[in-house]
Amino acid sequence: MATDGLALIRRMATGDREALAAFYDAYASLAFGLARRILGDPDEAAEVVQDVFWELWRAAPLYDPARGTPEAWITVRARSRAIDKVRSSRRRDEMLGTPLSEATTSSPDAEADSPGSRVEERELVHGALRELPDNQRAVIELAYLGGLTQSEISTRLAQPLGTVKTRMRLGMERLREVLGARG
Amino acid sequence: MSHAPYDELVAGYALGALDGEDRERFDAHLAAGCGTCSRAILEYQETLAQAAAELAEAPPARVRTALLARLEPAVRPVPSRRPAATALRWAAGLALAAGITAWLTSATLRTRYQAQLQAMADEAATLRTQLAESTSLIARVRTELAEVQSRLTEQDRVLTMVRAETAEQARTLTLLQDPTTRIVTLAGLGPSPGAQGRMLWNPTRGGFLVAAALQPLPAGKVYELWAIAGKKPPVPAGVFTVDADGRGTLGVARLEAVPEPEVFAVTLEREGGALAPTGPMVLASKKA
Repeated sequence: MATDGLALIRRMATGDREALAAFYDAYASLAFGLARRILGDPDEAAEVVQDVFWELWRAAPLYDPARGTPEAWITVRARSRAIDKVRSSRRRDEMLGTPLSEATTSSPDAEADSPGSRVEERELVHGALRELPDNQRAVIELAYLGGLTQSEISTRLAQPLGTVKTRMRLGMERLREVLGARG
Repeated sequence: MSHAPYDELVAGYALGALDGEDRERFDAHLAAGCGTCSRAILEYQETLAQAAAELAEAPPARVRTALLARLEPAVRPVPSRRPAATALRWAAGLALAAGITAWLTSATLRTRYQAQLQAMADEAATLRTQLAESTSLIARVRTELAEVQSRLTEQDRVLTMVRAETAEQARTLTLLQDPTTRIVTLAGLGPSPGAQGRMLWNPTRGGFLVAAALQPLPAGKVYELWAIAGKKPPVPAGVFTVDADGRGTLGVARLEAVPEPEVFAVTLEREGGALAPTGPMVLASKKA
């Protein structure tokens, strides 16, 4: 059964705490998965999730369904908070040294080092992105999960800025097609 | 300007990856209210949300506990008072309860007001943004409205001119179709010897004057037509101006005082015209 996110947000706007709990139960894994992929560290991702849902609780009266689904409302904030954290804790400099897909999927948890879970994680990370050509997937991951700007990506990949822009556009169009076809 | 450069930047914007000039240009473009780009951004945000859903992973249970604990404490039901075993116990209990209540109250108030202040600050920030957006929208609508109004005014002006010309032509045609209409020729005099005039005159309908090659009018002056019959003083028959080529026209209503003038003449007069000719005569017909 699909969660009626909009109804929950409407109830949250009236100060309904149970609605927040239900909203959290429905969407926390969406925010956590994304934050963890961006930050790597589950503790930092947990902090981001708590902050994000606290913000959403307070911002609920301002939610406008015309500006996006609850899923987009949550992911835009979660991504933004996680990237802020990456930048403020200067972890980006460390990440720049290693390929992003490894940096974003590697986990300090010992159990994550077992070959099986690593492979499984890669599958998860790449999901729809896996269906993109490598060069398009790379720029989207570096921007969305790595928080790099197009100029930084251009430097990092030693590709002209125009090429980076074009790959972003083609990649996003392809991603939309792939996900649109799924559902 | 072509929209193509913005099409190339939408994806980068949705990915939060624009920087430098691209960022500034795109922000300005959005602030100018591009619906195509706004819709594309919303669509891409949905796409990214869908892609992010594939990364979903349950957070540790403590996050939920901490989040709900952070909420404003719910209003607690007032505990029913129980009979105390001794007055001392009751008093001690009361003191303890008072202490706890005071502590709870101040903590609760602090949390509640901090949360409320933060919420109000957030809301104020959002309202400010919305106000700025609305203000820019209103400015745009005003500009467009002013343009539309100016176009309408111009169209009205043209329409009025066309109507006046049409009425003039209809009037001339009516005059020409009437066998009692005569055509009087006026010739230039004094300051404008090359000037010419034709007067269509009908005793019951009035007439229509066409003048050509008159001198351009000095500021504050007009040409005035006079109708003269017998020994009566000239009767004023209307004033007119001329264009750059010295052309002017004047429709004249039927003149009760002189239904059949013998002479038509034009003089230069002060703006508004005179009741009797004062200026130099520039055009006159021969006595009929």
